[in-house]
Amino acid sequence: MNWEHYLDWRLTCSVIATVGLYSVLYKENKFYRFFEHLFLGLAAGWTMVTLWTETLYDLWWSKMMGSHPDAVTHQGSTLPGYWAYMFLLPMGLMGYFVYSKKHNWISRIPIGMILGFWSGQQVQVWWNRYGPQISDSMKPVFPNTFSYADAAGSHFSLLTPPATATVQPGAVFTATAISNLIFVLTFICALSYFLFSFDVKNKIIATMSTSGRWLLMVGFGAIFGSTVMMRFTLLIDRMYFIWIEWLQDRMLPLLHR
Amino acid sequence: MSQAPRSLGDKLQSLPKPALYIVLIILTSIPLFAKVSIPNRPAKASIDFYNLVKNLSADKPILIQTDWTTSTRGESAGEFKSLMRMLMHKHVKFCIYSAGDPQAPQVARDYIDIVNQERKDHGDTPYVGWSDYVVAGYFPSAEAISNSITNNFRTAFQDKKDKNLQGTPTPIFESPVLSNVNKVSDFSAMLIVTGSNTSNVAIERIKHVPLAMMVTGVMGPETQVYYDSGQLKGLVTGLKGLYDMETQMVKDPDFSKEKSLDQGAAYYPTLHIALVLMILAVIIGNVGMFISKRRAA
Amino acid sequence: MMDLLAQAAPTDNSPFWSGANGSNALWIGILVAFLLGVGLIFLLIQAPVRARRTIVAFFTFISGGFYVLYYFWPQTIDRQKMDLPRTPLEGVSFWLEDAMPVVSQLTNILAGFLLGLGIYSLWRVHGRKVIKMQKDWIFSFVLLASSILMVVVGYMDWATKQGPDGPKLSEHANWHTINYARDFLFEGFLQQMDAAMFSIIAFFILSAAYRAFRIRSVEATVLLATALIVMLSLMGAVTNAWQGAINHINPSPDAFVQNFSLDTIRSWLTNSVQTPSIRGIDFGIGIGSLAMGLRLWLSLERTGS
Repeated sequence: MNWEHYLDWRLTCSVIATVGLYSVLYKENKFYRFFEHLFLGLAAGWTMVTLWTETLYDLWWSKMMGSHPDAVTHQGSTLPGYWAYMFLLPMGLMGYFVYSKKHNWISRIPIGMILGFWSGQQVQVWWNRYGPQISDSMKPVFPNTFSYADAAGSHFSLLTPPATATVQPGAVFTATAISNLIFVLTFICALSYFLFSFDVKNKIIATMSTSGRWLLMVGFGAIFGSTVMMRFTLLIDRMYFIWIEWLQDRMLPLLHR
Repeated sequence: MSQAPRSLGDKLQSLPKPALYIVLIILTSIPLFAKVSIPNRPAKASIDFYNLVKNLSADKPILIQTDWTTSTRGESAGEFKSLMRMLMHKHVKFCIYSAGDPQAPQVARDYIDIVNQERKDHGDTPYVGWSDYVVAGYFPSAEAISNSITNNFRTAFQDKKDKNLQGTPTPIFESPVLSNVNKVSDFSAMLIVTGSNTSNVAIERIKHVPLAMMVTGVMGPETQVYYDSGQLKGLVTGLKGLYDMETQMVKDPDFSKEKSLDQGAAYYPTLHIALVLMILAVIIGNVGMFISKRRAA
Repeated sequence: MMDLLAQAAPTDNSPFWSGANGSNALWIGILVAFLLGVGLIFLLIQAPVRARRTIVAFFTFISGGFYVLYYFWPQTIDRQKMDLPRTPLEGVSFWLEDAMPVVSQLTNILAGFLLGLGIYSLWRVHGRKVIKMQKDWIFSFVLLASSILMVVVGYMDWATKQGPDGPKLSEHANWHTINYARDFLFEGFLQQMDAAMFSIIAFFILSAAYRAFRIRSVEATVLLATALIVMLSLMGAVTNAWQGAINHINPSPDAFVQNFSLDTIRSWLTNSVQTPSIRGIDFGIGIGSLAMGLRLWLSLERTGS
């Protein structure tokens, strides 16, 4: 099969499928539903394939069956199989009891094991994830210097530092201290917003909670801006695929041939 | 009874959806045909990521977790290709695995082939699977594999096979890439290219190796927090981050032979138009609201 | 027994648990293990209703308890390959360290089997629609047919790539029909439709922002202003034009007016306001996860009967 001809057909079918999915933007239609179900079917099928080829074959089947060198090429090594791995198949199949009306509780055993593994790890992962952030959140809020210094110990004004001036280690200038104070206040206000367990009657905490809500909006605004960038980039990629990769690079040269 | 005529404010607030969609399609299509160079100022996080990769030594391999598929091709493919170009240029060996999506290992192989073809086109030796890189495959439980990597890397990956030079599936520790690797600290860095929150799982569990990430825009603000606290040594976020990488490569004489400007440079100008459209749409909606409010008052 | 669970590499000292590839001993062992597993399922079916919650709680607790014990038990220091434990405490440390990768494998394998549950559910629902010829059953038929086709083609493609002829298939010229079929379905349809599905959200984001983003409250104004600054700072052309205007006023890098460049405003906003606010949300989620983890491990969550 000629690779270039094959690519022409493949890309054309891809564009038709893409346009089929985009047709939902006008309204729900059978063309869209066909491609939607085709997509779901292919995704489900591919998941089953990779489940075996990328996971179970190496981690479970090969361990259970062992291996020996190929009779013709003599490649590969001799490894024994461990029959105890077969216990895992009935354990995994217990999950399928979810469809049994009478015995669906059995499905909770493998699911409970997975949840147990996850929850047991939370103790450790919580500190790995948040420990450095807690220490990073403890920022100095008072300035400790109002000038630059050089190696000789001379001090220079912040407004007109010469080229030889350097920042002393651990120096916290006024602007840095103010930024750090805003950081710490934002952090405390954002945390105080999540005090739902009891009624907040104290005026100071109530004000902090309201301020926290406003400051959380800054985080959400940043998330929105980044999300917009990402979604638009995915759309631009699809347009690039249709107009440049298919139409300009494939179809127009074909018409000229 | 006839309806009251709609005010300008009402009209501005109720532009038809199909019109918006068509305008968006047109504005994200036409700029693609124009080759425009946009000046760029890379973010500090992108600069740190670039320097981390640039300073990698060919003596030690790196570990790459790739969890992206074509669903986030717009950002992740460009990020992955940039990374591959830098690593292959520096002859750094790598081991790839995925913990987020069963499709991801195949997608990674396909894009390594694309970068390899570029290398062949400009006369460089392509990277050879098994000798220069191995693909360890997919692990369905990101939590479990991340724990295992930190505790005992050898045992975590001991059952994984890749095709050797003769095409026979062989345990990956027999490959030249991993023959001297016993624990995760034997890697010079661990890089994660992802479009999902497997980045959080890695931060929670991976220790003893410098960590850096290339994430999509959606994960950017959430992952920025880890960069600020020093848990990540570098961070590339979305298309802007990708363009930061490409512009740094263009200016770097070390990478003069590589195809530096690629997907980022192709998409970035169009992103400007799309973002301007978004800003205009919001402004028009709000102007319409204010006009309607004044009229009602 | 401790050695079995901790063993990751084959040794000659464990003939009971292992067998040579293809040997009768191995097959008999596999069959016995399968029958024992099925026997366990039958025993569970016979379990009294009162004992069900206890059994599930037992498995959950043991599973979670391993990691909790691993975290709290003293870990080994500078353990070498041939070291042996000197005290029972060290013995447990050694066992925990050796068992960790085995337990992780177990998690991966179990998760792999359970992943098939979602696919089975999908097939079951659509299969029923086709058999009973319910409304729009033809679409369900498309789903099932494409799914089965993908499984067959995907597996056969994988099988052709194993073995000595595998490397030749990296060249398209050596491809067989099945390789083309896999490429067509995977690259031609699945990958592209995956990308298209994700990109549709761009249209909905634009439409939703146009209709719903209104400056009606302080919160909305703050959100909109931040989003505007972020979007403007993502545009290199805008940041450079802004910087040009700033440089026009005073080009010196130490000038006070340089603090008002878009990059500086964006990075200050990120470092001083965005990061702590997202961190606050993260901490809330983290404390909730910790509490939920504890409740799940101790089976304090009351689920359905």
